[in-house]
Amino acid sequence: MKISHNTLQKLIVETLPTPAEIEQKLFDHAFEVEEIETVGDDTVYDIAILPDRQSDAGSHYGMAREIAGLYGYTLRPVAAPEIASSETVSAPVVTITTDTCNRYCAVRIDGVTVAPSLQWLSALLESMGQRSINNVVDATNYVLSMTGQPTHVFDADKITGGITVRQARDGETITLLSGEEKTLAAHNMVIADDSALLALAGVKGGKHAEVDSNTKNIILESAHFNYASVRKTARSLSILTDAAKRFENNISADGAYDALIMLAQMIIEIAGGTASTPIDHYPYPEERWNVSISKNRASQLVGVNLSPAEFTEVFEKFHVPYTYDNETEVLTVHPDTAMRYLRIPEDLVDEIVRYRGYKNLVGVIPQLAAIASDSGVEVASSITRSHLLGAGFSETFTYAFRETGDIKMNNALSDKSYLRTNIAEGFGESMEKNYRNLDVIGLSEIKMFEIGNVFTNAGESTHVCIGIKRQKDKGVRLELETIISGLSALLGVELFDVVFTGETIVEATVPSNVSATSVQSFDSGVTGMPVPFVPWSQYPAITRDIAVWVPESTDPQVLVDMYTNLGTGLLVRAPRLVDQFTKEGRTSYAYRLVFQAFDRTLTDDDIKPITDAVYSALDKAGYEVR
Amino acid sequence: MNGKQHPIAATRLQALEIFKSLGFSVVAEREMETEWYNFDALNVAPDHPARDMQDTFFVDVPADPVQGRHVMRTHTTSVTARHLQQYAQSGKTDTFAVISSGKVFRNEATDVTHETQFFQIDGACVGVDVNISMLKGVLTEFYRRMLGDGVEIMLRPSFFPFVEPGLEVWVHFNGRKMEVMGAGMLHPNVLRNLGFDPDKVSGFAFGGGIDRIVMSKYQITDLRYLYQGDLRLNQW
Repeated sequence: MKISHNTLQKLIVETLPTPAEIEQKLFDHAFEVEEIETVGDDTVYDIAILPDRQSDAGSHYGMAREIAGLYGYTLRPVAAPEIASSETVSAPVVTITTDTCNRYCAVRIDGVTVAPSLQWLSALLESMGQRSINNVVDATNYVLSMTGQPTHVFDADKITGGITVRQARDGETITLLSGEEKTLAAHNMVIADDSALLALAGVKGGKHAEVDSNTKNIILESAHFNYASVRKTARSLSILTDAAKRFENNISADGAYDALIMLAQMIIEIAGGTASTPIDHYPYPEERWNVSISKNRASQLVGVNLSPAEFTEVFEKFHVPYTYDNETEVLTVHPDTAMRYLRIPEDLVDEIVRYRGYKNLVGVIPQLAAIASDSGVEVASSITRSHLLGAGFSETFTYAFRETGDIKMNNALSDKSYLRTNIAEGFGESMEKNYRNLDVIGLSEIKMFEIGNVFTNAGESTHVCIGIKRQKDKGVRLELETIISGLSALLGVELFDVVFTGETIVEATVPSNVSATSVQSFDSGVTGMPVPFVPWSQYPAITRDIAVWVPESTDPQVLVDMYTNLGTGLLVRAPRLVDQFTKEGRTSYAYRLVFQAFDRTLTDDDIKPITDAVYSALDKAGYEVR
Repeated sequence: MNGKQHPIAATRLQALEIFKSLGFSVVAEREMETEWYNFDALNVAPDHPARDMQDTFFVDVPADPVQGRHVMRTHTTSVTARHLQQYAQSGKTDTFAVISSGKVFRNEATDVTHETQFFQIDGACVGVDVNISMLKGVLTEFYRRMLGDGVEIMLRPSFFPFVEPGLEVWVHFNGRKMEVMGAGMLHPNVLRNLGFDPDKVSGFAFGGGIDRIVMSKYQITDLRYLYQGDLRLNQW
């Protein structure tokens, strides 16, 4: 929600602090300011208003009230809007035939002059990211921004007969202000005249009775529509408007009439005209409520012994009507109907704590004793993981979704719409990919594992999947069998459903009935994980092996340093020793250099200058290249 | 040579261990849940946007007559709900705290900060005198041990259907301010749904993603790296 600093200042007596200070105050006590933008001589805040605060704080008046409360400032009194009505202008005739319209207020104004907006109004709307259209339409957007109440203007001369608020008929169509045509269904609420649809109620106006530069006579609407109905219409037709969002957040219907009069007064001031008597149909009035909590209970939930003053302070500051019984120490709050956030006793605790500020709360660590024994699956998984890491296997996670399986997602966005029935399938693909990247990773073989859940018609279970990929598969199966039996011995329970995929991957169910009911520590040595992480390139790598004779006494680090220095930014990771032997007082070192770029596939031409420089440096050092 | 750790696995176990040392019981549950444990029990209204088809994976298995349709859990709070309910049914009255960490699912388009699967941590503590100051104490201790003494922890007001008061946990870490958890005092409707009497028992609860902590701690630039099975991720 866009809020103008200068507009807030007009509503508050005291001089406001800087925008940065206001941002911090709101962050600590109320809302997150997502963006602060300087527009001309104004500052505009984009404030994320919490869902339960939209109805009371989602407007300039509401935000001014919030900020005044937080700082202890005084709101400037705002004169109640008023208009003079004339008998010469006939009041709109409105019929409501649906129970999803809670209130409908309207007034007719004859003899307006539609023109470009006054400079201050168009500037204000533009600073809040809106387009100025004309004085009449801009007035509706101004009222929305000030009060949070959406309103709408129809060209009265384009309306045939009376106005009806009703459900649409299946297949009825409407052309919206944007020119888009929509086909409606019975769950859509509409505003109609005797011959056409005028608007999608609470969502968007229609083209039929659009105000244009020739418009002389207008009907203003300020209504309240059921939030669920508006939401369904906005979603099903994919129309996201500010008005729809307001109704979805269930603003209070009590503000609709005042907003209508405010709009009418403003339009008469800037566009002229004579008003009819306003009409107000209010079939489902807002019900009022009270909320109570004892000082004792509030203190207990906060963990602080509150004094009566601390207990009631926030309601005093925010001008929330309340009573406090000194004898019973019970506070009863009588909220305005816009104060949707004050519904249950715990809401009052929320107000007390956030007003005081969470930063001023002293944290207490409770003395707890573990009551339940730790989850068997977590314990077994943790033991399994430690064992496999110790045996040289690296841990991976692959996706739980596959293109085939037993159980399908009804609404998946991708073609991988089934839950995996085993880990091995996706795991195997990863293992192959990792094997192709051996040089880039700097390994001579791939040993990896994953622990995760699988889903079959028989149900959900936790599996461990273990794989080894090296040049020759011989002996791998035996190695995996040994790992599985070692794990079973360690857990004290046989791993079951052991399944091999080829010779190189084994998968089994992790038992949950492990004998050790608790592990020493779940945390198997996380310490020493260095930062930062080094990202990798998506492009293929080029590998060069360089073998060179050096005197036996030479430290091979000399070679590593030389290769690293000359390798430019294209050298990936440290050079890896792949072969070494000594003969007649000389040692041959073969290092593998891996080159890769972040922005392209490298060619021999990219690498040649580097290898040439390396050979020349080796030559200069007196080392013989093999 | 030891194998290399996956940063998510390492971090979630570190988190479990910290809470275990504070007296929390480590629990786990299924990833395929019913609507009741994933939403209804947690006071998420039937028309709440979180239940929309575009956010939640609905699974093609017959609905449970009582607990509704099957979904891939969208948060690990369903684990907390199941274990709090078991505890309420046990009739015990000692203060009880649970912690879990697991995989959750969201049906959304993926990018560098969004994935269809990721990991969360979730916990709660219920008892006759559990309060917000304890929530602050526990979470402050957790993040200090997780991210080091240099981390600044901020609690600020927020709104979630399952808690009241509701708050967000932010950390200022590695030069970045970010929200890492939603938390608060368990909403009386939730306590009631799980079998507690909200007039006699109160509780705090918290939950949030592990991935964001991991990405920030290890400066990983793309969330998707974490689930591609690519060992170039395992630099530890």
